[in-house]
Order: sequence, then structure tokens, then C-alpha cells
Amino acid sequence: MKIQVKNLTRQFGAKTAVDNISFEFSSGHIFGFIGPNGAGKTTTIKIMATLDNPTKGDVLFDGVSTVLYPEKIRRIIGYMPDELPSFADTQVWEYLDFYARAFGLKGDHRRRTLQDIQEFTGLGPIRDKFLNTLSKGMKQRVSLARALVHNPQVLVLDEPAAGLDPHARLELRELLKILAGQGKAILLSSHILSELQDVCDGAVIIEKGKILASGVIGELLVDAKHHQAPKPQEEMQQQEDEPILMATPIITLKIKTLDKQDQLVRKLLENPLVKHVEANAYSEVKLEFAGLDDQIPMLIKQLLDDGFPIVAFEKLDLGLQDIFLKITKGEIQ
Amino acid sequence: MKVTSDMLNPVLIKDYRQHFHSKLLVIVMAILLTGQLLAILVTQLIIDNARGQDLDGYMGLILFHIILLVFFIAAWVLCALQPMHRFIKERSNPELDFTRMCTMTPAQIILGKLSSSLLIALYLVSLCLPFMVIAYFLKGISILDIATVFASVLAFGILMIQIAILIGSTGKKQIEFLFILASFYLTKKVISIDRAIFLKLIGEIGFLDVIRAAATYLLGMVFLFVLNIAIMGTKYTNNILPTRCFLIVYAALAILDKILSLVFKKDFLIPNSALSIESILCFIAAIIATIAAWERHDSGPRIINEAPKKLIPRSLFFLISSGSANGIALAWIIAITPIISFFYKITGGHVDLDPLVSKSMIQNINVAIFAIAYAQIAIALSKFFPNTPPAISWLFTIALLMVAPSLVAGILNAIDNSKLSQFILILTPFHESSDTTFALVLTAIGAIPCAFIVAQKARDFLKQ
Repeated sequence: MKIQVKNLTRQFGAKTAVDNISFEFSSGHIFGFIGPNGAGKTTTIKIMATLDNPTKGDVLFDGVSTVLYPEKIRRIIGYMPDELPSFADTQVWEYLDFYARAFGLKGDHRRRTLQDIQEFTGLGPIRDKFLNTLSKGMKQRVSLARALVHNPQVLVLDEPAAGLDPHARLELRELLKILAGQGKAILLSSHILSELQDVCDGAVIIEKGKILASGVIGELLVDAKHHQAPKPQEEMQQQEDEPILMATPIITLKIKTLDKQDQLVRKLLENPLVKHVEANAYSEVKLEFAGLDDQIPMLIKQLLDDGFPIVAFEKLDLGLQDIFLKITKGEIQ
Repeated sequence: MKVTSDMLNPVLIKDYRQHFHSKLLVIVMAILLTGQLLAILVTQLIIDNARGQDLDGYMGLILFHIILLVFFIAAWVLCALQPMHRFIKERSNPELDFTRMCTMTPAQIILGKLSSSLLIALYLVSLCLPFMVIAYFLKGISILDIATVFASVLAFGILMIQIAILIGSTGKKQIEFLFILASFYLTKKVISIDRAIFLKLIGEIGFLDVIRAAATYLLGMVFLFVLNIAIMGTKYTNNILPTRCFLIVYAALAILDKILSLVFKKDFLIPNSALSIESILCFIAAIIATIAAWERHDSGPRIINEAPKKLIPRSLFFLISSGSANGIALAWIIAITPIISFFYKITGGHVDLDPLVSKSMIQNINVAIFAIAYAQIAIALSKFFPNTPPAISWLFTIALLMVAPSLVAGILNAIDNSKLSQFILILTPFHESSDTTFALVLTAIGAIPCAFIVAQKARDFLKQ
């Protein structure tokens, strides 16, 4: 299945929450949807889940419009919001049973499905517990189980890892990988970027309702290494036919010194190839170096010759978090 | 049993399970049983202290009323108040959204909520039955009386539960007080309808009066049901369609009733002295216009896509579909004939009318025309201030044109400046002349900007 977000715009009065965004993803892949708070992620997801309507544009599921045929889309989409299950006086199995019935699952088929889902999400041992007694991690599992109850082909998850402990995050990641392996298309919104990097095949970065970058993770990493300034989608479209001028790659380095951290920062900033320097509380200095790989030993040698007690240095690979920080301004709408 | 549960409404099963997990059910049941036991004890004490007085015909009735009161409070808490609280939570959290994302229709969701509350009510009735038997044996009340009262309490319960769903579906805790107010109002109303039923039972009024009372119940229930469907539907669905259809059917039935009463020269469901056909139609138009003022302007792409392709069916579909422009257009169509007919009757003097009937007719039509005028102004306002929700525009219009002048006029009246107060009330239905001129002028003014909105939306709808 191919999911296409086409020229999606959502306005709330004078405010534009989502501004003409387009991207697509397909079955068997996990696609990250990244942006700071207020970027328009939840609005986009709600439109995809048929809970809101766009001012312009559409979301197509294998060509079927969410605007015109929401009933058809509801059968194929599973939505997990950032809010947790909240039915009062309800046990876990009753909660899932209700949604299974509401989706029209009957008799043995419903019972088998619920059993499988409880097993898959690890809810079996707590099926008789009341929702209000569960931990946040367990509630997230219940929420995921609810989204899976009608075996949807597409899963849209809004901040599923928020508030989870590292162990629960790891488990969620594994569950998502299994689901993608089953051929489901998964859109995963999150601001815990280290989580997305390991699990996503591609990502869209959004800020103030506009897409800043999109593509497979590898491409995004290359783009970010060349430190391209963020461009709105329309500008990127205009420049498609123009020759691309590659900027000098930016290399991120981490240097650990025994002493003289402040002097080291000043010294580094004197170097024209050093673009940005950041010191931390562990006697480390992180810098962005606009030179080539073979210029790094020369830089280090120079620092040692200048008497800086350097005990370690490391060339850092860019992560999704770095890409995100590089291309967004972190502005909240 | 497992197969049977598949045939039941999922919301009914869910709500019923929630009821039986709730501590409140146990507490209310305990209070209900204790209250009834106390009632029996008090009755027994009265009988013991009667010292030979003849209490036949009293004690059963007194006990019955106490039991009924305790039952009524228990049912109100468990069947309406608690479900409303739960529903407000479900609405403010996304649970209702999830339910709407399933394959259930809004009508199924409402029926599920309604039936689960009624099931609890029946459960409470079963707890009262042994005590009712005691009341019966103490004399003063017949089995028919008991059955009639419970039937009317059940009907009342359905109304209350629907109001609870209506308020609950807004998801706003702040308006819970409206439920309390509605409870008091409806209790008063139901007592009067029950009285009619009782009077029939003892032969003081005719069968038609009982049917009229029952029809009032029925229309109220159906109207609340379609309103609930409207409020429960997701955005850009044709959620107002059932409400519009109901009101059109109601208008058609009212016309039919009047035709029958003209042919057979006797009143049927609508007594001639109470409401004229003109005022009924104007009221229906006013309700449609007021609901329209709470809607968004356009129907949305989905409804336009669903509409029939041929011009005439498409135009009719436009009138009954969601959208404030559509609603106000329908209100105009319904209101125009009765307003002309009314003027023909009143100003032309072609029909001899009882002065009392005439005055009541003018008052009713005046209120309805003012309601249409306010709705039009609210729709126009929300067009010019698109960031303001339509409901706020309507509330603002009402506050500015009706509530504020009425308050000022009330104060002026108190300090004996009745002339000025009447002038201030000129744009409200409370003006003492009850003349429709001001209402019609205000409606005409409001119709101008609305006509542009309707024309634009109708063109968009019909050109597809």
C-alpha cells in the first residue's frame, strides 16, 4: 500500500498549522515524522486518521481519498495517539474487546484476534487489570493493541515512545520492526530522535507546518553533512533542475582535554576551518570542522604542539538528532 | 450466550460492564434499599400509632410515593448523571474519537448509551418491586397505577438520558449545570403530562388528550435523538441531515393534521386554540435557522461528492445537508408561506379570528421570526469574523440583541421608565405591542448578507 500526503494544508482561522506539505511512504517501511512541538505533526496525523479535515489537499491510501471516503480509510488505518487509554472502570481485556466489537469482529474470530494481540503486545498477564492502575508503558501497549485490533494495513503512531523507560522503548522498537516486517506501513511521529534513527527507513522533518527535509535516512545524513540551509518545499522544487553545488562537508569532532578547556575553545575558533565549538562539563570540546578527513591529524598535531593536554579525540557520525538540529530552528508555532 | 453478545450493541456491553465495576452502583443500590426499608418502617410506625383510624386508601399511596422518590433519585444518578460524567471524559479524551473511527454509526453509539442506562433503570425497578408489592397490599394504589407511573418514568428517563448524552457529547464539564436545570424543567413537564395520563385513567379527559401527551414525549425523544446524531458525527459528515429530515417530516405532519381537522371539522393532535399552522411552521423554520447558526458555512467536499448529480435532487439535497447556508435557505422556504398567510389573515381581515387566538398567534410568530433574524445576523457575523466559532457568534448576537436589552429594560421598568424600556425592547420579542413589524424588518436586514452567503454556497454546491 502506498500512502501519499498531497499538498496538505490545514488552517485554524488565521493560523496555518500545516502548510502545503507532501510526502509518501509505503508498506513494509517505518517512516519517521519529526518536528518540534507545534510543528503540525499531530494535525497531519489526525487528518490521516480521518479525525480532521484538511483546508486543502488530501491524503490518499492507494489512491483512496481520506476526505471523500473516510469510512474506507478507517478500516485500513490504525491510529495510536499521544493520549493514553482512559475509560473508567474498565479492564484491559474489556477495553480491547469493546473496540474489537466496534470494528465488527465477531465470535471466535474476535476472541482469537484479541488473544493474538494480547500475546504480541505482552498484555496477557495484565489483561484483568483496570486501565487506571497501569503504568504509562503498559497503557502505551494497550493503546498499540487497540490500534491493531482490526489488523490495519497502515499504522499511524503519534509520539508512541514519549514517557517510556529505555527498556519499554526498546520493546516498542522491536514490536514496530515486527509489524513492518508483516508488511504494514508505519508512520511514526516522535521527537526522541535517537529512537527513530534505529527503526526508521525514511523520515520527514517538519517545522512551522512546512517540510524542511524528507527522504531515506541515508540521504538525509548526506544532506546534513553538507550543511545545507533549510529550504521550504517550493524552493526545493524550483531548484530540482539546477546543478547542485556541493558545499564542503562538515565533520563533527569531539576532543577530550585534561586541562585548559577555555583556551582550547579560543584556539579552535581562531582556525578558519572550525565553524562551531561547544564545550561541556566533562572537559570535552565538540567542534564542526569544514575540512577534509586528512586535515584532521594536522589539526590535532597543531593543538598538541601548542601544549594542550589532549587525551582523546573522536570523529562523530551525524545522527538524526544532528540532522534535526541542523535543519530546524526549533521554533514553536 | 457468546453468540448472543455478538448481536448486542458494543457500547451497551462496554457501558454495562463499566456500571458493574463502578463503586457508585453498589453505593446507590445500598442507599436505594436502605431508603425503601426506612419507608416501610415509617409506614409501619404510622399504622401502629393510628389507634383505630381508618388508613385504608392512604398508606399504600404514601409508601408508593416514597419508594418512587427514592427510585427516581437513584435512577437519576446512575442512569443519567454518572453516564454523562463518563461521556464528558470520553469526549474530552480521544476515546470517543476512537469509537467514531470504528465502523459504528453515531446512531448506534447513542442507542448503545441509551440502552445501557435503561437496562440499569430496569435493574433498579427490579430492586423496588418487592417494596411496591407491599405498597399494593397496603391499598390505595392499583397495579395499573404502578405500571402507568413506571412507564411514564421510563419515558422521562429516556428524555433525561438523551439530554445527558447531548451535554456529555460536548465534552465540557462547565456546562454540566445545564443538566441539573433540564432535570428540574423536565420533571415539572413530565408531572403535567403524567397528570394528563392519570386524568384519562380516571376518565376526566379523553383519549385524544393522552395521545397528545404521548406525542409530546415522542417528538421530544426523536428530536433529541437526531440532535445527538448531529453532535456525534465527525467533521464534514452530513450529520445535520437527520435533524433537518425530522423537522421537515414534523412540518408535513402538522400540515396533514390541520388539513384533517379542516376536513373533519374537529381538532386532532394540534389543538387549534393553542397553535396555528403558521406559528408551527415558523417555529420549525426558527429551529432550523438556529441550528444553522451553529454550523460551519460550507457543506464540505465529502457531502458535495455524495450529492445526486441531477439538478433538482441536488438542489433538494443542498437544503437538507449540513452547512449554515443550506439551513438558512431551508428556513426561508419553510417560513415564507406561513408569514404571507399570516399577514393575509391578520392585516387583510379575511378570516374572522378570536382576538385571544389572534394575539397568541401573533406572539408565537413574532418569537419565531425574531429567532430567524438572530440566526441570520449570527451567520453573517461568523462570515465576517471567520476566526470566531459560529456558536460564539450566535451567543454574542443573542446577548447583544436580546439579553442585554431585556436586562436594561427590566432595570428601567423598575425605576418606572416604561416608555424607554419599551423602546429598548424594540429588537426583542418582549416588546409589549408584540407587533411583527420589528421582527420582519430585522429579518429583512439580516437576510441581505445571508443571501450572498447562500448564493455563493449554493453555486459552489450545484456547479460540481
